[in-house]
Amino acid sequence: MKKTIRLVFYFLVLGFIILQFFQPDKNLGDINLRDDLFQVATIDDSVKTLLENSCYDCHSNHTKYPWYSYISPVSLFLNNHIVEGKAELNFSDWGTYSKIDKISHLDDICDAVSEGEMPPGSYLILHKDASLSEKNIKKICDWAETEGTRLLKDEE
Amino acid sequence: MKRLVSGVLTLGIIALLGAFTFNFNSKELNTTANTQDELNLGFPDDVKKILKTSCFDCHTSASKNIKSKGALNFNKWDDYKTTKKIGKLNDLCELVQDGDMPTSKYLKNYPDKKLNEEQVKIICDWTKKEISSLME
Repeated sequence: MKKTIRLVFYFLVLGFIILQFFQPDKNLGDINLRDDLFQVATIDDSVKTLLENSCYDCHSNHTKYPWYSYISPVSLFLNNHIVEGKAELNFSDWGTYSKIDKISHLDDICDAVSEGEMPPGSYLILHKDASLSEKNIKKICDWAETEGTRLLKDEE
Repeated sequence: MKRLVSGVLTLGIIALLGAFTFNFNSKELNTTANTQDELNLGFPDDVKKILKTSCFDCHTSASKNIKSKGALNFNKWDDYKTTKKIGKLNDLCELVQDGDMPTSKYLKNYPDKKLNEEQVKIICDWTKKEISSLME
């Protein structure tokens, strides 16, 4: 019996070690390239900081990885989140979005942070500083509305 | 004995009154639910028909689902700012096109409310047209 337990334990350790060789590609592109929101939109520094702290890990081409994110299966789980987040909205590609999509995203951004859907709870467990206060939510919404209205009136 | 009879009588009257009030209340509830029929949106009839069948149950003020009516409430449509209207219209087409709306959970109870391709096309043709007129 003791032998079996030991065998299972070795097996699990081996599995864990092998799993480390399977790492997803890291999301470590440059930010502040031509099409990034920060380059294209009218946005002040305080809102930039909020978005960078609370949104950019999953909604841009550059994630700030914590140390544990280099360990499988955490890395695989995180990668999944990032791929999904970027598919929905990628601030690094902001400049490539149509005006309609920009206005639409801006409206959704305010809705998502106001309803507490974003940042998601699973992200906040390990990123407590990404949590948005009422004041900061209002800041994001005010900016989103101003930027949306600016785009609407902007003649291109 | 006399006291017992009057007691029962009083109880009976109270019960009757209660029933009347209840009846009145449920009628009132009904009228609130009916407001979605008279919801006066400037939408074309074919679009409105689809929305009424497949969306209004959750996306009007009468809905008990706070989350869904918070995300989009057709009773408040006229109060929405232009940018919000554009955003909601854009999402509306995307969500029905991807089959994310109506939700699968809802469709389990109301399978006949699922949108077919033709209905999705009617919705998306309309949202696109509406968006471009709002953008002008």
